[in-house]
Amino acid sequence: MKYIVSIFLVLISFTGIVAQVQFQTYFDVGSNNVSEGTFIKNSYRGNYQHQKYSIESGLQFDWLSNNPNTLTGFDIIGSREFSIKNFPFNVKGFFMLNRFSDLAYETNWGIKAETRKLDHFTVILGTNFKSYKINFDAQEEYNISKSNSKLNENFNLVYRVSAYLKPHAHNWNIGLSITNIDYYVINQSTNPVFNIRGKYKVKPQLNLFMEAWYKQAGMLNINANYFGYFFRGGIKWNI
Amino acid sequence: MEYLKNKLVLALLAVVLSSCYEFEMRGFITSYESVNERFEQSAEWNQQNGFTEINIQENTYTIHAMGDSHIGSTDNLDIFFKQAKDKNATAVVLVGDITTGHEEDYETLKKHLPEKDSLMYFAVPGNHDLYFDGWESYYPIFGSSAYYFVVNTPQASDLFICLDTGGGTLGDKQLAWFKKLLETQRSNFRHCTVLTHNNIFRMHPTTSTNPMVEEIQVYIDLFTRHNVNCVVTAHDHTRNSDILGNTTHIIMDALQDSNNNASYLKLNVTETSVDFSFVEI
Repeated sequence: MKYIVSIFLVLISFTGIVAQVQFQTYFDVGSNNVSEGTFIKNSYRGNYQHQKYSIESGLQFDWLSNNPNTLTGFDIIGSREFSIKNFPFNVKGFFMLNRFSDLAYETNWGIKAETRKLDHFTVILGTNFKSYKINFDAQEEYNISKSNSKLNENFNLVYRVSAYLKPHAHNWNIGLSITNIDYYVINQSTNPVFNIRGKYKVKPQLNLFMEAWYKQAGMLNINANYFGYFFRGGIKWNI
Repeated sequence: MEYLKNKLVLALLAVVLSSCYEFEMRGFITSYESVNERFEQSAEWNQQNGFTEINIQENTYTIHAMGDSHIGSTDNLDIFFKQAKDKNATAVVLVGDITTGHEEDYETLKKHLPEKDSLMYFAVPGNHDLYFDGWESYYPIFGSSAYYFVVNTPQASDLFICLDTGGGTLGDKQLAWFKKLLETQRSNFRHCTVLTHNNIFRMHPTTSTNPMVEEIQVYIDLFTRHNVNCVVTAHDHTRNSDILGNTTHIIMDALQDSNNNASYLKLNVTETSVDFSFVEI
């Protein structure tokens, strides 16, 4: 909890400057082939934007899952807006940590570009560098040498293509996405995941959103099988 | 412009039609039977037939493995079987994509499989083996797609676990069985090797699909926790290996006749380790 409060306080302290601060929280409820029942996850995210620059960070907590850790995800994203010949886009550098076990964890570094040039579409394209690492305690317990404690996967394509019914600024919207990325998960590019997203602007500063995600292993690539689903519901608050 | 467009459409059609024999578009969306259904059939088969134990007199031995023969033609597969017999391999494992899934390919395969008393063989299905309702042909030949076999030497016993990832996932039932097997049996064995078709990691930029990242994370946890020594996979058609924890991950070359770099894998099992080498055809 102290992490959330810290992030929130840091973001609030910057609001004196001409800037925009955004806070978001959501719950994920779902199930998949490896979750051994229903999981419930909760994330808190903050975004601070000043002129063309922004910094965003988030934490994920598992309230119900087979993961022995409670704090299971962390990410930080630095971003800058650009415009080339009236084509606006954001370039984002990111780091993501996924603590999926008490023995090992995963990190991802990467860079991606995002554009909302078209009123009904969002396109994200980039690359990431993934590492799976055995943690120090497990290295000791299982007599694993440091040189064998890490495995890298380099230059993985990351993408999200979303199509929306209404223009981005509309006070409600519904959209469909195909992607291999989420806040704390990055799949191989050949494992596309589908989601449908709805948002509603309750007040000028407050948005509600709902998402349904469907995961099919090997989709569009091999002999596809059901993998899992989850629902996400949350709020986004422009402070 | 119109001319170029027509040429592009024709080229695309040619690519799609030429790949139709090997790739089934339906399989890209959904499978004929779910991985859980295959596992239920496999569990029933295991209950009726039990698990194989191979007793040998030596303390060191070899297991040969291959993947992606995609028959059709069987020249390399024949060489693989012959060399395994000549070199007295304790067993061979066919690590998926043995066929293209067509019934006639399975008929060809049947004619080329060795007698089990001359060479013990095991198999797991790959995605191609399951296209065109291939499980209906696979099951009568090989039976279970999720099982283990044991090699007993005078000094110790080694565990070989064969898993069905032909559908891109183990599914929850097979995963539960695999987890229980490791929890209850692993400590009774010296070495533990897992053989399955889908490569777990993406060791170089490639379009061959590995499992969902949530499933990879579970594998890493299980392999580390239960000291799995070696994981042998295929699917990517290009050899590779890396080590994470105490587990060596191996991806094999395609044995397919049209592959200029066709090779198979030789696992050399000794008192202290499971080493490997690739044997070029």
